Amino acid sequence: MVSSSIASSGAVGQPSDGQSESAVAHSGPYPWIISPIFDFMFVFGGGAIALLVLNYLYLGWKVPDGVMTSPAAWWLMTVGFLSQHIFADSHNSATYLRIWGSDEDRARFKFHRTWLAYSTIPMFIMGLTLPGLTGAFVYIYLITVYWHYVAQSFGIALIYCYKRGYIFNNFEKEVFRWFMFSMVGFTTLRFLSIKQNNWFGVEIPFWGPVPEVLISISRFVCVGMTIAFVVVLARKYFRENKFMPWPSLTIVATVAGLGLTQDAANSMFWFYVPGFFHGSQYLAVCMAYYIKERGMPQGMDTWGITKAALGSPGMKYLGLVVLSGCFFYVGIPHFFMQIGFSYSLVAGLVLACVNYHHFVTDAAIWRLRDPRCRKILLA
Amino acid sequence: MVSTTFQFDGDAKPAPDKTAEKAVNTRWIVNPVFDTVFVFGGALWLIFALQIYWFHWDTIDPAAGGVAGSTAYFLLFVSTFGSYLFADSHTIATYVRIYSTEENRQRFKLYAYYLPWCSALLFSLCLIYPKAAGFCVYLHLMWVFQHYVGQTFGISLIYCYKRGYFFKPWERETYRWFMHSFSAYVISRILCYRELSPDDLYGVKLPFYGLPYQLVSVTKIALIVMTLAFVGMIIRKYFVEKKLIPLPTLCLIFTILGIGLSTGMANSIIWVYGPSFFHGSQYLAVSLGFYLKEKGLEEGRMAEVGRHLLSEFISPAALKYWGIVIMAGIFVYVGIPSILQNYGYGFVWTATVVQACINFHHFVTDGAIWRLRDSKCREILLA
Repeated sequence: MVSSSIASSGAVGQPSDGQSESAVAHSGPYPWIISPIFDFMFVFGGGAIALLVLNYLYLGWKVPDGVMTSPAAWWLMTVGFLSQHIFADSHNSATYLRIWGSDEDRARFKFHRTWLAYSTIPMFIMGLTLPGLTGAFVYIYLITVYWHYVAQSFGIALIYCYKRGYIFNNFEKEVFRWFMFSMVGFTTLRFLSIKQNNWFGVEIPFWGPVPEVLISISRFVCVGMTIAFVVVLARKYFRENKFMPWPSLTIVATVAGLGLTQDAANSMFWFYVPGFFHGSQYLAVCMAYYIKERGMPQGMDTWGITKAALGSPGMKYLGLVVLSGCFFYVGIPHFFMQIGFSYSLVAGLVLACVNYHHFVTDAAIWRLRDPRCRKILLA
Repeated sequence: MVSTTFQFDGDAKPAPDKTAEKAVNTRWIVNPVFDTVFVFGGALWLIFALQIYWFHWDTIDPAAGGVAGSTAYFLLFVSTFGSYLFADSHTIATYVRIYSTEENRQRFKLYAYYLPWCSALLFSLCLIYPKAAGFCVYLHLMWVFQHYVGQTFGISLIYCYKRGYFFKPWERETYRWFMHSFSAYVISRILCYRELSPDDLYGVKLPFYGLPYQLVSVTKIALIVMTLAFVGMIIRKYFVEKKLIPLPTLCLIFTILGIGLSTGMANSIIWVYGPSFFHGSQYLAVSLGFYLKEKGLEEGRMAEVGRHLLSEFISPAALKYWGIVIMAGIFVYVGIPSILQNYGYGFVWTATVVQACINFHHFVTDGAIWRLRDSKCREILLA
C-alpha cells in the first residue's frame, strides 16, 4: 500500500482553497493518521511491540500455545484471536470498500473490482478441485506476504514523513525504497531455503533450497542498503537539521524485526504483527481515507474528520469490515467444511485468493503520485 | 412476526384509502412464483418430497454412489446453503429493522439498546453454568414453535388483508386462538412426553420436568374445539360473504400444522429444511420488502417499489441488505462459536446456546415491531 511517491515536494499538505477556516487555523496537515495514542498502538507498531514485551516477560521466548496453559497465555491468546478477527481478517475487506467506495473510485478501479476479482473464482475452483494447487497458492502467498508488509510499511512511513514536512529528494527516496526492498530480498530468499511441509493444515510445496551464495549476496546487499539509508538520514539531519519522524522510524524497525528475526522471536513477531501492525495500520489509513473522502467535499475540518474516525462513522466502518472478514475467513471455510471439504484447505485457499486480489489492488489504489489520493492521505 | 391486527371498526372494511399509493396494493408479498416457493411453504414441501422420493424414511448419505449419492449431496448442499442464506440471516433482519433509521431506533429503544444486553448476560450465564444453558435451550425448543406459529399467523393475515378478506373482531380472535391452541398443544407434548423432549440437543443437556399428561389432553381438546370453530367460521364466511379464505393463507396454515404434528423422520426432515425454506425465507421476504418499501416511502416511490419488489430485491440497496444480514448471521452463528472453540466450548454446543439467547431477543422484538395496528407499519406491509 502507498507504494509510490509524490511528484512535488514543497507544497505537500498545504491547506487547499476549499478547506474551512478552522482547518486553516491548524498550521499544516494533521500529523497523525487518527490520533497520537491510536497511531502509537495500532499504526506504527506500539501495540505489537508491547505485546511482544509482555509475551517475553510472562512466557519467555515462546508463542502462547493455548488458553489453558497459564493466565498470561489466556490473555495473550485472547488478544491474538481478537486482533486476528478485528484487524487482520478484516483489513482485506477495507480494500473492497476503497474500490467500491465512491462512483469515482468504482470507475477508476473498474479492472480491479471486475476482471481481477472475477479471476479469483477460477482460482478458487481450481484450488478446490486440485488440492495440490491450493498448497502452491498458499506457498506463493507466503513468499510474497513479507514484500506486501514491507511495501505497506514503506508507504505509511512516507505518509508520516510528508505529513511532517520531512520531504525526500528523489535520490533519498530511492535509497529508502531499496533499503526496504533489500530486506524483502534477503527475507524471501531465506524463506526459500527452509523446508516446511505443512502450514496450518495445508500441505505446501518446497521450491528450494536456493543456492547459499544468493542468500549471502542478498544479506550483503541488505547490509549495504542499511548503511546507505542510515547515511542518508544522518546527512539529512546535519544538512537540513531534520530528523526522520519517529513514527516512520518505528514502522521501519518493526517491519525489520518481522523479517530479520529468527526462530522463536520470529514466530512471536508473526503472532502479533499481522493483527496489531499490518492489519490495524491498514485499517487506520483506510478508515481515515474513507471518512475524509466523504467529509472533505463539505469542507469539513480535517482534524474533525479524523476525530470522527473514533466515533460512529468509524465504528460503522469497522463493523462492516469485521463482518466481511469473518465471512471470508470463517464463514466460507465453514460452509465448505459442512459439504465435505477440509476446513484448513479451504481457509488456506480463501487466504490465497483474497490476498492475491488484495496485493495487486493495493499496488494500484494507494498512489501518492495521484493528486486526489495524495490530498486525502496527507490531509 | 406481524402478530397483531387491524384497528378498524369491525365492519370488515379496510382503513380508508386516501392516497393513490394504497390503490396499487398487490395481492402478493413479492409475486406468485416467489411467494409460492419462499413464503408459504413451496420450497419446504418440494425438498421434503424430493428427499422422501429418493430416500424414503432413511437418512441421506452423501457418500453413497450413483444418483442417490449425488441427490444426497445436493440436499446437503441445499440445507447448508439455505441455513446461511435464510435461517441464520433472518434473525439479523430484526436488527436491521430496529436500527435502520433514527426513528426506528427511538421507537424501539427498549429492543435496540436494552434487551440485547439481557441476551448477552444470559449467554454469559450459559457459558458459566451448563444447567442454565440446558434450561435456555429447553425453553427455546418450546418457544420457537410458538414463534413460528405467530409469524405464520401474521403473514397469513397480510395475505387476507391484501386480498380484501377482512375479519370481524370475533372472527379474527377465533383465528388467533385457533393458532394459539395449536402452539399450546405442541408445546404441552414437549412438556409432558419424555419421547418428544430430547435429553440432549446438539450436545446441550436438556432438563425434563415431566408435567402431567392431563395437560396434553386439555390442550388437545382446546385445539379440537378451536379448529372446529375456525373451520366453522371460514365456512360461514364463505356462505354469508361469498368469500373464500386466500389460498396462500391456507397453505401457510397447513404447513405450520405439518411442522407441528409431524413425528419421527418426517419431523426431523422438516426441521432440517423448515427453518431456512419456510420460516427464514418468509421472514426475509417480508423484512426486505418492508425495508425497501420504507426507503421507497421516503423517496416517494413506494408504489413503484411494491410493484417491482423482485427486481428491487437485487437493487444495490437490497444487495447491501443481503450482504449485511448474511455476514452478520455468519458472525453470530459461526464466528462466535469458532472463537469460543479455542476456550474449550464445543462448536455445536455454543451455536445452539447462541441461537437460544439471540432468539429470545428476536422473539420478543418481533412481537413489537410488526404491528398491523401501527398505521405506518400497516401501510408498508400491505403496500
